[in-house]
Parts: sequence; C-alpha cells; structure tokens
Amino acid sequence: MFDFTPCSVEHCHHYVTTGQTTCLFHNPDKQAITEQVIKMLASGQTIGSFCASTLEVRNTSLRDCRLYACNLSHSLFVDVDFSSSFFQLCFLQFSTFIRCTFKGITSKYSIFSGSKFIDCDFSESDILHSNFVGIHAQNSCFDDSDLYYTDFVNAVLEGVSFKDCNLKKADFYASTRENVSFKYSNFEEASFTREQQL
Amino acid sequence: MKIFFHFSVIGFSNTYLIGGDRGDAILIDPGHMDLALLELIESNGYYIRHILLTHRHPSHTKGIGTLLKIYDARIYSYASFGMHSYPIHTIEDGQSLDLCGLKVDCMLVPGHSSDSLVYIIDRAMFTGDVLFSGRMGSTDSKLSQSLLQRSIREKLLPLDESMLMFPGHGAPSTLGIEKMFNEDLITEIRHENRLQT
Repeated sequence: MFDFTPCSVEHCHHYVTTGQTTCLFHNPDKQAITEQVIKMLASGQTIGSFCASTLEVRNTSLRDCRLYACNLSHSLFVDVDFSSSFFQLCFLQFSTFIRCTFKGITSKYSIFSGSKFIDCDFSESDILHSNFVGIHAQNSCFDDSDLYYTDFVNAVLEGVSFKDCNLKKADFYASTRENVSFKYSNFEEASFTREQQL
Repeated sequence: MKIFFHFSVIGFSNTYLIGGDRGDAILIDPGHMDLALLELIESNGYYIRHILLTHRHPSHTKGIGTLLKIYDARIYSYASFGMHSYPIHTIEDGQSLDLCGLKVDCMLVPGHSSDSLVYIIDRAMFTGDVLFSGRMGSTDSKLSQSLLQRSIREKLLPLDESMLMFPGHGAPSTLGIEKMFNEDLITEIRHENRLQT
C-alpha cells in the first residue's frame, strides 16, 4: 500500500508523493516531479504502492499501464490514453478526466468515486468490483463492458451509454440519469432501488 | 502491510489476505476455499496464522473447514454460538490484538447480525456486511435496522475519513467517500444533525 504520510504543508489533506515530503501540488519542484511521474507511468512497467495525488497529465499516452495499490486521486487528466491498462486497488477518486480513453482496461477493486468524466470512453472493458459512487459523467461510453459488482450509487449520468454491458450486481441506486442507454444490457440484474438489493 | 483480494463466486463475497511479518498472514472472511485462494496465499509465500471472522454468516465462513486442513490457524470471532466444529477465540468489543506484527482493533457493530465485528488494521477497516460502498448492510427487521444505524453512527462515523473501507461484498471505498455519497449514511447523518439542533 502507498505511504499514508500527510503532506508537510499545514492544512493540506493530501498524501505525500512517493519519495517526497509534500504532495505534488505543494512540491517546489512540481514540474520536474510531474514529468518524472508521467515518464514512469508511460514506461509500461508494473507500478505498485505509488502515490502521486494532484497529478496533472495532458496529451499523453499511458497505454498498458499496470498499477497496483496506487493513489492518483484529486488529479487532472486531459486527452490521456489509458487503453488496455490494468488498475487493481487504485485510488483515483475526485479526479477529472476529459476526453480520456479507457478502452479495454481492466479495473478491479479500484475507486473512481466523486470523479468527473467528460467525453470518456470505457468501452470493451472489465470494470469489476469498482467504485464509481458519486461520479459525474457526461457524454461517456461504457459499451460492451463487464461492470460486475460496480457501484454507481448517487452518480450523475448525462448522455452515458451502457449498451451491451454485463450489469449483474451493478448498483445505480439514487443515480440521476439523463439520456442514458442500457440497450442490450442485463439491467434487470442491476439495482436501481433498495428493494432490489434485498 | 499488504492487502490482497479474493472473490468467492460461491457466496459472492470478498476474502482478504493480509500479509504481515516473516511470511505470516491473516485471512479475513474465508467464504470459500478454492485453488485460486490457495494459489494467492502460496504464491506470495504466506502461511495463514490467523482467521478473522466479521460475522457468522456462511458466505463468509464456509471455507474454514478446508483451510484448517492446510493451515494451523487460530480463528477469531465475537461469539462462537456453538455453530462451528472448530475452536473459536472470542473477541470482546474494543479489544486489540497483535497478529503477525499487526495491531488489529476490533469493534462490535451489531445490526446486520448480532455478532458483526469491524476490524481496523492500520488505515484499513474491514466492515464485513455492516457497511458497503454506497449502502449500509441489510437487516431483517426495523429493530435491526435501527440498531445498525446507531452502531454505525456511534462507532464508524467518528473515525478518520481517510480510513480505507474493505467490505464483505462489492467495491472498496473510504469513509470520507461514504459520508459524501452513501445515501443511507447521508440520511443517518442528517437525522443525527437534526437531533442535535
């Protein structure tokens, strides 16, 4: 598991970047450290127990990333390609993803809660036992994905497509859905109300 | 501390392998013992010394019999209830254990079942069927529901929001995330705030 040491800056609630004494946001060498982190993520090597919350990544390919127990929460990703990547017990909550591709990813026991997804593509992915509680997704696609036991409780979903998905034990309770499609998916095996849970 | 997940397709439940000192490990809620779980344990070089049960329901305990044929492990639970054919080391509410070099704090959080325990190891909270991502545990009566709400309010809500939450079913979370988005918890927090004003 990544280091839970808090950032040395007073009142900052983020964890230190691995190998540093502050979070990335408060790091005096923010640019250099950010570049190092991106280079490491883009290398394709398996990365475990790494923390780099408040990361900012733009126009980068992070295809085939393999991340285990990493913390990239409260981060910003714009035009980033995560295709075919693997996330296990990763923490990406309260992050913003704009025009990002997650096509063909495998996500197990990972947390994306409270994150914002705009024009993102999660199609053909295996997103299992993952936490999308409280996300805000616009114009995004989960088509042809396995979403077994993944939670979307209290999510705001606008123009999101879940066509031909496995929704067994997925939870959409208290979610707000506008222009959302579950066509060809087994939505009857998902939960939309509390009664369905019992 | 290393945490590994294993999902049991028999009871649709999560089993957690916690790696401690010198190859010794703790297993939480072995709902089913299968080759995949055995491989997970052995490939990481662990020996199961201790088994922690969050509660007595079969989907979380059924793998114990087979496990004990392989590992000489101690089993911990709130109460034995005479339901098991193996010895149980009973835990009291608020008790702290030192297992495999890890401090394990045990909290009784009844409601889903009368013997529901939440285990806290470092920054991780293993909640069994008490609290899940996005919802509270199920109950079979209004009284149990009320008891569960009160237990969570008194025992879990005061904890640090950065506490990682690993439930008996479904996805992991943090306490902070649950306070923000778990509709059942939000209702409970609002109710508590109304009572205080």
